[in-house]
Amino acid sequence: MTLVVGGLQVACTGEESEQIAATGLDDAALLTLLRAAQLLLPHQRLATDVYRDAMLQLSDAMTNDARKKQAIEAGLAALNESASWLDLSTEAQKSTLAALESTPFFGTVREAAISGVYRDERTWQLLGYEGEASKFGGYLHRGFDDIDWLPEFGDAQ
Amino acid sequence: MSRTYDVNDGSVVVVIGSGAGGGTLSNELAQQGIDVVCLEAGARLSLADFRNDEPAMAAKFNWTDPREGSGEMSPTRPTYICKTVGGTTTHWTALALRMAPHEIRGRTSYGAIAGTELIDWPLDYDELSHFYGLAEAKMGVTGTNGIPRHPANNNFKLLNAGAMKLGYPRSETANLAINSVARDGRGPCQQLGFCRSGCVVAAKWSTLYTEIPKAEATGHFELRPESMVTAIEQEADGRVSAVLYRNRDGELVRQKARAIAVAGNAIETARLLLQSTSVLSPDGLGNQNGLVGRHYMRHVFGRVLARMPGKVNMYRGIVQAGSLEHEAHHDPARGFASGYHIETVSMSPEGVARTLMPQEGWGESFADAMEAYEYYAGAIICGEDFPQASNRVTLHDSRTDQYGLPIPKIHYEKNENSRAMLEHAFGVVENIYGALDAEKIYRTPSGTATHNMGTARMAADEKEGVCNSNGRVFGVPNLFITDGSAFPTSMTANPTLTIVALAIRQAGFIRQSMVERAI
Repeated sequence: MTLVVGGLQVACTGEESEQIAATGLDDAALLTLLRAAQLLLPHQRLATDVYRDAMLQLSDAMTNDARKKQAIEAGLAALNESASWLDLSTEAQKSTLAALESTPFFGTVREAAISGVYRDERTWQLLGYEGEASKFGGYLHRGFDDIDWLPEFGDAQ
Repeated sequence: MSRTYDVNDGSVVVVIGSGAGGGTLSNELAQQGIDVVCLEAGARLSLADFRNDEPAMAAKFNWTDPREGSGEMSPTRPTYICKTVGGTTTHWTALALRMAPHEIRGRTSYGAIAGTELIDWPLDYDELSHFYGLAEAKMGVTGTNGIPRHPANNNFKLLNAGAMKLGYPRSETANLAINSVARDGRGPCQQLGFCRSGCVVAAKWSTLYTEIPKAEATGHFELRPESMVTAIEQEADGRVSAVLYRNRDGELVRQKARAIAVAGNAIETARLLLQSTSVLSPDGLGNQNGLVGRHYMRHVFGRVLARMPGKVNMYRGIVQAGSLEHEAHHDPARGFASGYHIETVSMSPEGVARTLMPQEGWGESFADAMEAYEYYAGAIICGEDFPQASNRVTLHDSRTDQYGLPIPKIHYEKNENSRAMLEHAFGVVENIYGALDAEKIYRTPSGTATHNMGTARMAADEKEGVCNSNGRVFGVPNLFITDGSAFPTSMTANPTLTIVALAIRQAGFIRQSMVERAI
């Protein structure tokens, strides 16, 4: 199926839909979290999958953590209190989300988004971080000292 | 050749902790033929368990048992240390710096500092220097013993160039306990940049694969991992006679001992002394003056991230390749006593995100700042911290951990001197990066401490400290402190080299005391 979320197309395979169902969060809830993560860390060139995977991890974590689950449920209810949050304009979504900044919901989603998105190798590619070095013998011969724009000072190396 | 000892064998020295202090002391004693049982709370990993993967390794070896911070400490994650064989030497960044001569006489050098209980170390600098030499040889510290220094990586070249542009002299890379050439059966550094995730090539010194296996090879040493000590038992004559610990199956075991050395890092060491009560020591071992847990220090600490006009790729190579010493001296004209190091540090994207988020907020400006990842340079400020009685480790009155023990609480606030020092240091680091046209600079305080010191300090006067210059606890002739807990001041230097030097010195004292039948 294909769902449209805040102007972004999200393709879900059948298998992934089952995965979503198994967490106890319905599609709309997961898409809401995904959209919140995108607004928190809006990297235009980053695949939607990266945000979705981060929120799927949060969804998994919720099943073993009653406090997280409660925080997420409360936040989802607050976001949708006066209107369907996903149907709002981007600006309206942002201001509704910003109003929840001091809630456990916001902190939980932000933490999951940061750890999920910035531990993801797809994000590293976007940022230019090369990560694991042991597989190619370290940066010893791969640019650990290749900075070339510094001023020189007399006997500079 | 590893031995096993009977729990009723009261001839063994029990060492609690296997990191810089405990691992070193164990090996030094075992090399002299003294039988040692080392109890380590964490599990034993091997090099094959190490990965260039920060979160995966943090899950394998970080100390994540519950703790509570207050004051300037993170409420839930006040410390960043390891619970594993090798202790925090598995994730340390290997800066092996000596204390400066004026620092060992802190009270004399600086005079009275408001709000602090500053004392001199009860040690002679020339004598300590001898042990620094032995520690540097043991650890293979670059720039000592004819061991070449490492080449500078991008992050340090930049810091150094900025400092030179301001008129400071050129600096070499730091004294590092990381092999620059093959040595001691270990290969050289490959500039992996994952010092904090366990060095997969074992170029970095860690007791896990140096002191511990060397001790095992003597036939005088037994390591018991996953053994959490819950109490030390004291006899009516003041001596300690046994430790109680939970083994990996959760069973309570009593190991008898001739002498006991505590090296659990300054949080756990203080905690263990406080919870070890007896008729003679109703408030905890060595706590007759109420000083155990007090004078907690963590260095005057701050992090700076600078967005530069060109690429830096700070993550490539040794995390703490260099330390600028230009402001490490004592010059009261700067408005504070003592000084600080400026040390390079690198951060992964996640680390940068956590640094930027509080200042950029969320949304577009944050994402833009993150996408400049390759352009950041990073440094930390590591300044001398002075002892304050109110900065302390205490036991929680209601929360307990998985062992049923009260969790430790850690309270820390800077004093006036520390605040003035940190402000000065942030200014200097900003000038350094500014000299190379930094586009934006982020100052970050940290509520999470890696350098933990002072909670069972040594003193010349029994009323001012918990132990003497050999780490022997006042009033308990066969109980020793073998970690940063014993430091009277934090020095500007990172603590590990001094912990190792003092452990080597202490091993000689324990051996001599055994020869003389004093213990």
